[in-house]
Amino acid sequence: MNLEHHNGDVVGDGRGRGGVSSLRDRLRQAIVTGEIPASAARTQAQLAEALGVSRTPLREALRMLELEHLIVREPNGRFRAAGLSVDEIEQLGVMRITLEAAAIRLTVPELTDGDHTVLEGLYATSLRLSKIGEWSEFETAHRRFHMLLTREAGAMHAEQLGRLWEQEARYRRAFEQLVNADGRDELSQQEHRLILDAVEARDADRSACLAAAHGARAVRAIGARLAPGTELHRLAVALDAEGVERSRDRE
Amino acid sequence: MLARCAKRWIPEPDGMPATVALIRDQLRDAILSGELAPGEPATQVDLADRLGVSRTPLREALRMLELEGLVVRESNGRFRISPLSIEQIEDLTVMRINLEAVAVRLTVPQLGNADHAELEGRLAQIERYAKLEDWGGIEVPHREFHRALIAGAGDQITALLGQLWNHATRYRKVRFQQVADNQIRWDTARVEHRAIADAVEAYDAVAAAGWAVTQIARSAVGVAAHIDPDHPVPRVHAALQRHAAALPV
Repeated sequence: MNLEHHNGDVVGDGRGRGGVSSLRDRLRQAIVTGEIPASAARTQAQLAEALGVSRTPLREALRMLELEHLIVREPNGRFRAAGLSVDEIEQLGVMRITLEAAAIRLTVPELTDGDHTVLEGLYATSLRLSKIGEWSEFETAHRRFHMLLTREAGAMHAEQLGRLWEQEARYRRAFEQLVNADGRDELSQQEHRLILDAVEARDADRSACLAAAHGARAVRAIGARLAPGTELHRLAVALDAEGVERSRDRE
Repeated sequence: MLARCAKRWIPEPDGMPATVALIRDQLRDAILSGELAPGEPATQVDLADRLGVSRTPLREALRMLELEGLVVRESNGRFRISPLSIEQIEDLTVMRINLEAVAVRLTVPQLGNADHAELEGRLAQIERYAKLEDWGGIEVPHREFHRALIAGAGDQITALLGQLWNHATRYRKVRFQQVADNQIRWDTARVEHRAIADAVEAYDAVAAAGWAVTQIARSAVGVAAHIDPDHPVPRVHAALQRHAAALPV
């Protein structure tokens, strides 16, 4: 799906049913493409004019994006895009992959049959939610799936994972439309299935490697949109440290 | 000195008032040095008095240190200096071993002759301080040595490792209080530092990472045994095993 497609007739000007939520999607696109710059703050009126939308739904959509940490409101009431950079998402990815894999290695041997059942439920729920495009509920189920896989991490470790998840979520939300349109989420679900199979076989090492590859692919998908052609070599080193084979990662 | 070093590891959020940053650094320094003891209540009135600051920026500074994990907020909203526990040193060490291994692997290929010379300089400084038995002074080149090993990983990764280092420092304070303890500690560290520097200079990133995490693990195992000899830390051993398996014994 190309960007121009989103700029015009599909999304509309924010009036009417579902206006605010489609306007929010439109604004996410504008952040990603740089139409709303991170370097210069704009007034609401300027944004409304630049994007060709009316001001009342715009105010509401801006507030939503502020809560998602994608928009920053300056003290003077102007708005700018929170910076999204390939450097940051790669670092977040390296930290998340590394800490998550460590936590999975600790958790998999401790999970019971009951836990496996819960994981199957979360997997089935998130699969359905992704099919019908309920992304905010999908995010909740997806998060619970990952949290259960890392349950045995110590308090400080778990807290840090939660923080990294939140920071990465900014990027996932920004790229939601694009990434889903690529059918990447189907791939993501297949990866969840493989992880779950390894977890149920109580293969901690394989579970950790699969989760690392899963995390890396998601970061690469975002990186490819932010800065096409950039090689994320730090991710490759993080995967290597987990013992993930290069070939699997390149798929 | 240490406070100044510590500060450089933490990126400043935009628009933070300078007084808040100063108070935060002052408090962090007091916590890391043990002047504010683990588990001690951090009442705002008392701290405001001791530091000679007003309460509003103090509260903000405490909140920032809460994010760094150095103070905890209790259910009644009061702050307390984070207590130390064997569970936490194990948890923290697992995180450090895994992150440090990646950060060193990322950094080693980027270091050049000048960086290697810098590392050698830090080691010489450590030697000098050890000879003088200046166990406070030694922390500065020691920190700089380790910082240089991970500097190429990126600002966010080094910031997190810096926070974890701070936590580890508090535990080491508890363990190494006697002069004799310190001599033994730095005799062991000398061997490990040499092995790290040799691997770095030979561009053997995996070996350098292995030695760096060996030191982290060895130090943590010693601290844990000191806190509670009957409480093993199997997670530390398992994490070490993964990253240092290739090292010659």
